[in-house]
Amino acid sequence: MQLTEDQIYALAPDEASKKAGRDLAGPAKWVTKGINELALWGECQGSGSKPYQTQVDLTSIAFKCSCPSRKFPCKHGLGLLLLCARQPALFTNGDMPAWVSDWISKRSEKEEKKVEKAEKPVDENAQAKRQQAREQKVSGGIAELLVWIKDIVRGGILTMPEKGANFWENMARRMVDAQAGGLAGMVRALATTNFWNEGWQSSFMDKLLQLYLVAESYQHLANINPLLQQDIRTAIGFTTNQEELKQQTGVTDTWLVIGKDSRDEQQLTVEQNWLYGIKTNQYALVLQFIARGQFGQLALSPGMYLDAELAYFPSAVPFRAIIKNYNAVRPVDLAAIQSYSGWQQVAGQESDLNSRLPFRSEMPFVVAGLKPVQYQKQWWLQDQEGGLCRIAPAYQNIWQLMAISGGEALTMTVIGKENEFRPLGVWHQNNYKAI
Amino acid sequence: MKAWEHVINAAMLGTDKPMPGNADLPEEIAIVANAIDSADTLDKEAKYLQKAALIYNYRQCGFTPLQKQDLPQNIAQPETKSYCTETAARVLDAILDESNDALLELWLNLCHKAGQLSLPDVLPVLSEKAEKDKSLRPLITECSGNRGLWLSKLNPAWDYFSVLPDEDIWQTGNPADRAEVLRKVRQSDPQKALEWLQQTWEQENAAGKVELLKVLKTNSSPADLPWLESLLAEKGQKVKEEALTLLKHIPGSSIVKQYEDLLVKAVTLKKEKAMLGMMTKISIRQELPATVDESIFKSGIEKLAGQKSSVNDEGYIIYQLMASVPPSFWEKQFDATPEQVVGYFEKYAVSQIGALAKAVIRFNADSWIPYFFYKAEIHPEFVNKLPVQQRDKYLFMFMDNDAPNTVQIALRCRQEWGIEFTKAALVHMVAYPYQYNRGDFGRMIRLIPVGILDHLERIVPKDLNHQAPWDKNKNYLIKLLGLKQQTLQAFNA
Repeated sequence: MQLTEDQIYALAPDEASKKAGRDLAGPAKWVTKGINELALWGECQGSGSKPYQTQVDLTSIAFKCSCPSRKFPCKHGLGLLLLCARQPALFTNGDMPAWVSDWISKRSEKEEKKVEKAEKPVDENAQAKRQQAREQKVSGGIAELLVWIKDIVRGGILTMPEKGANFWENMARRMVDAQAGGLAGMVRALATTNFWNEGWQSSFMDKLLQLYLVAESYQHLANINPLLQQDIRTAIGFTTNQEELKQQTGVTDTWLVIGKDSRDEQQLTVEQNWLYGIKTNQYALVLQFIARGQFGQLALSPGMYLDAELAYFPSAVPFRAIIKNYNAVRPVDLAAIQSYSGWQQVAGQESDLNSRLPFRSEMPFVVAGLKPVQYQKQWWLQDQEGGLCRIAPAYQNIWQLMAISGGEALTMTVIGKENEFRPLGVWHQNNYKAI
Repeated sequence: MKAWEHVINAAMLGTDKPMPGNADLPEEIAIVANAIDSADTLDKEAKYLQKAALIYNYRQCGFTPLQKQDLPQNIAQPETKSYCTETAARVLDAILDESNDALLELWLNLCHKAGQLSLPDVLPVLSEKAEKDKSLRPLITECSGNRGLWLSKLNPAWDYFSVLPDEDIWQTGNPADRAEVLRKVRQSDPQKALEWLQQTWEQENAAGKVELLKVLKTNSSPADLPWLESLLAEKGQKVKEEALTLLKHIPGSSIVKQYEDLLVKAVTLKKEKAMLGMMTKISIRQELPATVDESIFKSGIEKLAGQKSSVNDEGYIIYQLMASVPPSFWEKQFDATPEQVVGYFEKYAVSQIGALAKAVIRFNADSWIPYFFYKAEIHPEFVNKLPVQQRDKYLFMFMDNDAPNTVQIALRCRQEWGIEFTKAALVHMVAYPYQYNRGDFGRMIRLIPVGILDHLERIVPKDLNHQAPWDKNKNYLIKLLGLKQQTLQAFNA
């Protein structure tokens, strides 16, 4: 395990936990502490009579603590990791006490059981009936959606800013009733268009046409290649059985976590983790859905390197994936990272991806030699050939990026589409830093 | 892209209206668009949407980056100083997270003294800090290096990095900057500052004159007298008042001489033989002459003591006069050493000892301070004039009788308290948990030495009700002291 302080802080559930974790990163707070290749553990004297027993599974970065905190990881877990990162020499004990070895062995047993768990017999007839009923519902919903879309273009989009929330929400709810949650989300995304922005018409039409493409394609599903069928079904809201996915052979590689983002969506926190495979030069998006008050299974932070096997969801452009198993490993030298040489190459790749999947979401790229520049009062990323792509106006860390760059070109990960991207991280002095 | 503009224009109009003509499309796309147009099964909305979707994807696939090879190179100059260590950088992150400006100032000070720089990624946060807090600007500028200077040129809000020569700022700056630069020059070269002001004096407006004159209070000396005296003939009343205020601080000025002349007659030391010449009876006579020049009272000396005053009007006038003449005046007047002078007043005119102390501060007569050391009244102005050990000793003398006031005065100290005084101050503070809260401890961390960490557990409030708030404050204090300790260690200070 080789987590930097930044990576440890990125695991914190909130700012308060970061601060509290930092306060516990001193040796005086820990009555006992130890580490071996499997786990990191320590006993922290809290306000109670007994010290809290804190343990971290180092192979897959999982936490357990006897404190009553509802936060995950708690401040003790963060503090222990920070202390270990700062003063590894203090951790001399390698013999796991019983409370640590019990937990570690239970975790590995659990993993094994998961693998062994026999599938419940499935009533195929009932499943087929349910599937048919759902598809009928979806078809009905899509027919209504197409009429709604046509009504919009018939009347012209100039009146869209005046539409009240109900106009969008009614159709979104109709899509939910039709069991097409993906389409409901796309309708809601239309409502989030910033109608005050100059040029809103273009971004509105982008979203409307994506919605139309998905809805219309569903009506011709049989004539479409199977992988694209999967993309259409996924976009509509059909789920893929993740257990089945896990049974498939995945892509094994050393993966770098290049970015992480969280957003709240109706009682759920949706965590996006973007990964980059060093040897296979592939990108992946690993989503984690965390219900309020619960813990996520994955604890990833940007800059973390994992030896992992990823199973991609079936798609014409494989991108979303699940992690079958992983171990945190030492950082890889920047020289081993393959990157795009400039925007022209990125554009070529984008064209290829769009030709395969026209309604895809934005994807990350590792691009070498980018420098942030100001041109016509806007921020851009300039490649070594002089090509410019705009930095998304919503990007907030431009000054930090400038400070790190000092006007020099950097190898950078960016995410976006067409000619607008936002930086996710940079390699600075051979370390990857989320930004 | 024209084809996409066509899509947008049509969308704005709506398919119900006559559509603009077909967009110019490359041949392979036009073939598909024509096929859509000729499909009988599609209504006009479907035809529009399908063609729009086609052009949408054509647009996406055809993006080309904007080419601009002639943008000027703008690269930060290499640093001449070294960056701080990772450990020091981590401590700085923690301090910034804690939003503690006292610790930030300490960190910056030590970094500057070590000839080091903060790491680049923290520069925006530091620059924003400096944007809001002017007092931090010089240190932040020093610790930001060339990268900080380069960054500031890109962000107009951070233009305080600009390093215009002092004289340029004086000639062309805004009023606040001019006053600031004059203060700076006055500090290092008082005569030069005076000359600068004299050169531009006629061009300054009245308000500017007042503000700039205030700067001359720093390092004022008899060399300023001729010019300041001439300002008493200025037209502006406020300018005259400010000049007079300055003159009152300079020994030998006309106004100080006028006060001295009056005091020569009003306060005298009487030595009379008593007990058949075996003893000398000493007294201080305080009596104003029958007529006092009215101009004295126009110079700021009040005639009336006020109803709540413990001295009469005459005593109050003498008090003000005494506070406005250099203490050395009394050496001559009483033909006595400074120690004797203080002793005489202490013994024979104790109501005026405060005035003498004020004069010591006003005229920077620091050599007189030790003679006030064992007197009953605490003089707040002395604390920053004494060496640390003496200062703590001085403060200690008043802790038993007047701890609240003494602690308040101690909070104005510029240098860190000693351990013993810190213990005494904290023992007092724990009894007032709502008066000394988290915010106060955050500010006073600059005064509290790290060594107190070993003693904190033994400081407990007498009243059990104060235990819980003190525990919270104590934990916070421990956290801040931890950061202070790490800062000192990071720079081997």
